[in-house]
Amino acid sequence: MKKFRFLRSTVLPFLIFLISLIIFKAIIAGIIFVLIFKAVEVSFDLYISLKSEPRFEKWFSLLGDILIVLLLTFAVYNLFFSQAERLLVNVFFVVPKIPAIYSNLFFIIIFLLFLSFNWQKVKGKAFFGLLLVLEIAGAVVYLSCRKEKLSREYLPKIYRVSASEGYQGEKLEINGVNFYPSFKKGEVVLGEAGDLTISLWGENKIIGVIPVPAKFGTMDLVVKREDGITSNIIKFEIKDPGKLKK
Amino acid sequence: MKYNLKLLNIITKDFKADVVFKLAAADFLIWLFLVLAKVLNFDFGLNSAIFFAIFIVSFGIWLTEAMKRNWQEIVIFLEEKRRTELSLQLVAETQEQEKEPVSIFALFGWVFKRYFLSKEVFLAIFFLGIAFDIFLISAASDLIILFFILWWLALNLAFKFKSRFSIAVALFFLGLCPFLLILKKDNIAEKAAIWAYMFLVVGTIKMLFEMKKNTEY
Repeated sequence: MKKFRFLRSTVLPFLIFLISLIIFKAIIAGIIFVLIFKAVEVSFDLYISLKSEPRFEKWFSLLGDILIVLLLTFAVYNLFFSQAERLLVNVFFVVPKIPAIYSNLFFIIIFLLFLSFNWQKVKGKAFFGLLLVLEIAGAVVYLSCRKEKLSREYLPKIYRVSASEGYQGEKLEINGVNFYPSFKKGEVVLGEAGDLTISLWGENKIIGVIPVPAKFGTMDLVVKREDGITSNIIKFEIKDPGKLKK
Repeated sequence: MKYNLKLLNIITKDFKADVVFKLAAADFLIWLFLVLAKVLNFDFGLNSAIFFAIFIVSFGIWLTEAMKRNWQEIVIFLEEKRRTELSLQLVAETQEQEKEPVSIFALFGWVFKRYFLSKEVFLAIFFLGIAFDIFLISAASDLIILFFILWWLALNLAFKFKSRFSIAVALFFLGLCPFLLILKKDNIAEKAAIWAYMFLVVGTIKMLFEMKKNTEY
């Protein structure tokens, strides 16, 4: 018993500190994980010593219900919202950022939904197993989305082009993010047609004139930043002015 | 003990974990989690202020309901407390004048003076203000620092704190700095260092006065 206590109070925290130091390469992460372990240990000891006390019974039941609601809410939120944000911002380039109101609203709705449910009825080993699986899946999805978001945060992205087709000499407006300011102008490449003649360059907006192409047809429109990094590709069709109705 | 648990027992004696209380407790935990996550640079796209506001509102509703249910008992408890704490002389005086304050307004006037104009409340507001300045206001303002120093000096004079109290607070802020620097929160660390310095100055000056007072020449 004494050996186990020594193992739990000294060896285990030290191991946790070492492992988190190796994984996260930061002392603060090690300290935080040891503190979390100690908090869980103290809470567990407290629970064991107080669970038989009738006056604490209702408080523990309440705490259990709240923790279930919180774990479920965060798991569902991370599973769905992180993915939705990833798809809208980094895959389909629909919007540069989802307005905060939607994330908060979505979270509050699922939170209230879970809160109104009576979890006393469904408690059991299978339920807790499912909860654990959901929580792990949520955490994995959140962390992978976060990693992707951080790695793509400062890349140039095109979210909207004023037209999907046009004629040579027409003005084209490109909206997006991270194009760099006007003193660090890059170029807008329109496939084989060459570069657009830039009339305005801004961090989030570029206006250029469509060049005269060697041949007409659909081409890839890309913003090439001053540092050489290119944005996502948008399909753009340069139409033949000879086919205009007279 | 100044703040005994009897009042809490009265309010929570018929406690039921209703949805409003659950909402308040869960919101408080969400707010705590989001603040901690923000410190560790994890962003969930959620605004912690919204959850704090929901917590305050729902807890306020629950507390009002609980107080309404047990109103009579609370009034009796406070009246008893007031009677026991009044000095004998004052009791004699009020009895002589036959003007013993028994109205609800007089009672809550006493409660306000007794519980809200107290050392603990002033200290709590003071430290909340300091925390607000360190963690939420990015710019350093001389006026704010001056205001809080004067407030701290006034508290020291009014409640006769020992110098070691100021020094302990200074050490706390000093101890906070390396962790904030490791977390790359340079601005917050700088402000914590400013407050550590200020408390250290006040503590040292207070210590000099104490030494002068305690030494006989």
